[in-house]
Amino acid sequence: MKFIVILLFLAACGSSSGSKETKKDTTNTSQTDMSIQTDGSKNQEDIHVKLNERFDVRLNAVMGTGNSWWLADSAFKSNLSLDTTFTEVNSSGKDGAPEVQVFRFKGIAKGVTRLLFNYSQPWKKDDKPSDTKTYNVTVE
Amino acid sequence: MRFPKKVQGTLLFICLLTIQSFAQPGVNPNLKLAIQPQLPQKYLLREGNAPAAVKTQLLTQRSMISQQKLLFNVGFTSVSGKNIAQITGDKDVPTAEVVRIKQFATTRVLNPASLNNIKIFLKLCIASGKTYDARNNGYVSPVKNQMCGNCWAYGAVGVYEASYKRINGGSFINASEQHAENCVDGDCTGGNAYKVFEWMVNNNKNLNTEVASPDAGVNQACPGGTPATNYYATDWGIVDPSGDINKIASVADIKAALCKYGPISVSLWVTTLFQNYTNGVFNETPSNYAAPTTNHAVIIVGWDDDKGAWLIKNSWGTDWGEDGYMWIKYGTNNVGKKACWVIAKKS
Repeated sequence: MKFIVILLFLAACGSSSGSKETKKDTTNTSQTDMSIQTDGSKNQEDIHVKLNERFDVRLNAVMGTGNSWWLADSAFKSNLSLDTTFTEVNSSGKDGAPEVQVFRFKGIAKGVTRLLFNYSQPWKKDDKPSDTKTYNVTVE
Repeated sequence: MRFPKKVQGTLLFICLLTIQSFAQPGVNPNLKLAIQPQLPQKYLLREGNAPAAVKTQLLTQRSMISQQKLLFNVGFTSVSGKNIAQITGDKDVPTAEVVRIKQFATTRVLNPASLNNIKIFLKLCIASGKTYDARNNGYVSPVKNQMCGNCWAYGAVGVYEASYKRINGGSFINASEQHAENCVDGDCTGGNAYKVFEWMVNNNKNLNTEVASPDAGVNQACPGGTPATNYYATDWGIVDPSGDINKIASVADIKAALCKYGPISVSLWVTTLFQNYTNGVFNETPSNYAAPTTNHAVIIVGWDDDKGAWLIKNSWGTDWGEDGYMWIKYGTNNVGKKACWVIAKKS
């Protein structure tokens, strides 16, 4: 019985991680080959990148409020890879100050896809984001 | 292997039940080590209704927690897997400000009223003890919920409320973070808790009540006049003996300060993993003592040497963490920077 349960466990985890978004560890922020940056000032934006080109989506967040940005789905994965995410510290030295969450992507297959970001406190019961950003990405 | 969404949801639930069963006493101890502690029932139930993307995120985070043998759990949500690097370029409290505060902290003398008041607490807390929880002494006011980037005001006012209760007894007071925010150098876009203490003590200012000045989630002008409260403070100080506000205070110094003055305001580094904390001992990243970065202010209200951790009170409501609290490992996520205390005036 336990064997079957473990098999189901592995199958479910494998299935989920295979079809949904995952993120990498983010300790390496030294890459410099990104060519496009969007600062998140617009709620919707079009991005054009070349194959194998990297770009950053930079979104303002106040981590000290418990809020952060997260990708709502994994629809982008057929065209883009999420190389890394990290947060740039605020320059004011104040607690609760705005920071910048950076999501670094790479174009891996030609086509059009969409990046949808939600901003929320992850433990809130209503699960309704207080802000959203959408980027239509064309990999050429 | 891929399954339809409904089947995935069912299997995910089975995964969680499996994790629960392995975490039971008497079951494979290695698995137990990797996935402890158990996810509290309220988070387990809530997660059943979470979006598929959220469940996947949590599986990723739990996998990382298991691989790294971390001691806490995450729940319910959404946010990314292991996250957030602290990139270089840390901006501390400006040097001139550090020097100014240091001068104050190292030359100050407690006023006689304060000396008398802190004796009350000394009897109830032993810095060399293995555990302490100020909640058990009835000193910690209820967990609140900040409305903007004013965690620093909550970190300060919560400490003040604890000191007030210790010194004056009676019921908890509910002092106004908004009032502090309105009148101190700091606002909805950030600030530093010690500024509230400095403003109260140096200017003999008192805080208003939460009812009179609730957190509006926006910046407001400092009102004129004096609130009709006795929420004054007589002294404040920096925990680290050097008086350096940017330094992470040692475990021993924080314990001593906690026993001497009551709950302590500290800063730490919040990440998305921190935001997803549900229970256990949070031990994400070793502190960077050379150049600690912080982005959030909380309150240390106790410790447990068996856990090797501080008990902190957050200001994100009771639906976060362990009813609004977190156990955080000593020496992680830069906890203990900007550690400072305040002493309420006896009415």
